[in-house]
Amino acid sequence: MSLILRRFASRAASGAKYMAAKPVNGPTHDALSKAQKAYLDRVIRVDQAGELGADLIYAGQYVIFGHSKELRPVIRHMWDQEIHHHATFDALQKGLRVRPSLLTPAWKVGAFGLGLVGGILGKEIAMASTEAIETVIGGHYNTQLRVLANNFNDRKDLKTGENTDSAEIANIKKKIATFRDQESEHLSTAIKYDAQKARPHWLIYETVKLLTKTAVWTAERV
Amino acid sequence: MLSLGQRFSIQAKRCLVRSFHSLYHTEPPIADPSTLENKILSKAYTDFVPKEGFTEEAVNHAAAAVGTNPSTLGAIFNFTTPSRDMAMELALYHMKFARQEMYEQNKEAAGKMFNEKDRLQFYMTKRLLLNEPIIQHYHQALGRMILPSNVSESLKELHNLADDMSYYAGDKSTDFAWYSKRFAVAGAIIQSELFMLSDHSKGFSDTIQFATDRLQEVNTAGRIYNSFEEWIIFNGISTLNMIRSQVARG
Repeated sequence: MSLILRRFASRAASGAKYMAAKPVNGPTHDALSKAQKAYLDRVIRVDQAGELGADLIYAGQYVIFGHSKELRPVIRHMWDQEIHHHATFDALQKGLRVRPSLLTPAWKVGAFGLGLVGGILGKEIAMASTEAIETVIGGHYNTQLRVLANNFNDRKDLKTGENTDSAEIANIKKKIATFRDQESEHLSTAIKYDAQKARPHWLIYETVKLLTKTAVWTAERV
Repeated sequence: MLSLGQRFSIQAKRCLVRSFHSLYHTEPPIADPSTLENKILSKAYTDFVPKEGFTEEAVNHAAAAVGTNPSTLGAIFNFTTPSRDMAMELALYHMKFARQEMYEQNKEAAGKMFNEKDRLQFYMTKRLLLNEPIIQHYHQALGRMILPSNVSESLKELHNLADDMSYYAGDKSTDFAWYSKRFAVAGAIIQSELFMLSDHSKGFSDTIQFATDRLQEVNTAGRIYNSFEEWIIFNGISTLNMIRSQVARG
């Protein structure tokens, strides 16, 4: 129980583990454009808020399923991965000086409530909402990776003069790609544990999807 | 038709609040000396403000001194600044320049300190002392910055200052505390600057004492919040455990 409540009061750990190592001789690449900076700003803010949400959704589900022999290890595994994602984006937000989402308290309460209510309504419904959330997040991460691949390849290495990714951008890309893979693993876990047996599946699935999309849209901006 | 990139850059120019600070890509200096308007403002700031204050005359004289015809100033500032007001830009130049120097001059010394509170206090003191050369004209700058048409630009710059101080002091907040902290630090900055205007003590020791007390209050407020949070979490855990033990007993 204390583990769950502690998730509400996260503090950024040392960023060194999660960020690209500080460049020894100063910057290696030429300046990012303002649009590129604005995009990265948005990416880190929305992903931090999202992973915070995911962390607390699983915390909410764990309140209910922590006692189930079948589900405890499953939820715990997914939750541990989300805790890692959350810590990563906390470190990136702090280290790269991005403003966190202003609605952070609302995301905390909302996400925990969603996990808890889903859990109370039963395994199938909890898994159906996981299915919906992870579907949206998978697409969201893919979009970000696409933009990071297409719109950031015009930055010049100061030494060689060639256009390459700086270690910073490469690190963000790598983290997002890994997390995308883990989120889609959660998606198949949810389906394996009877997400589609929820009744009415379409209603729960579409509602939670809409909720997630709205939250993503808001967290990018506010 | 503007290209997408141009439209992006125009849109981004309007937004002066700093976003995403890269460590691997070069960052332009805060008071960028490469632009024409900053060349003029820098000249005005170092050579003319101590005598003439934060006025349009100071900018006019500086323009003449760097070889720009003062009658073209209107054109230069109308198109490159949101305020379109030379005295305001001069005041903002002071804020930016002092913010830049606060970090550049003191980063080594601050790096030797061990805790966030000391560093914050250190940067605050150094920043206030950077007002010293222009302090007798500083009321003009502050008066200019709080005009209704300028207040949004001034608040952005105030946020940038509070953000820089908190970040370089080693702030670790990742949620709403991020906003509370910057808000509190910004409040302490404003109060201390107003205090400084009428401070005649030697080396502004009264102002420094005043600022230290304000930051102490910010610190205490933070500690109260954290203790309260811990107390709530502790009580939540104990209540739930008590309920569980009663339920288990049947």
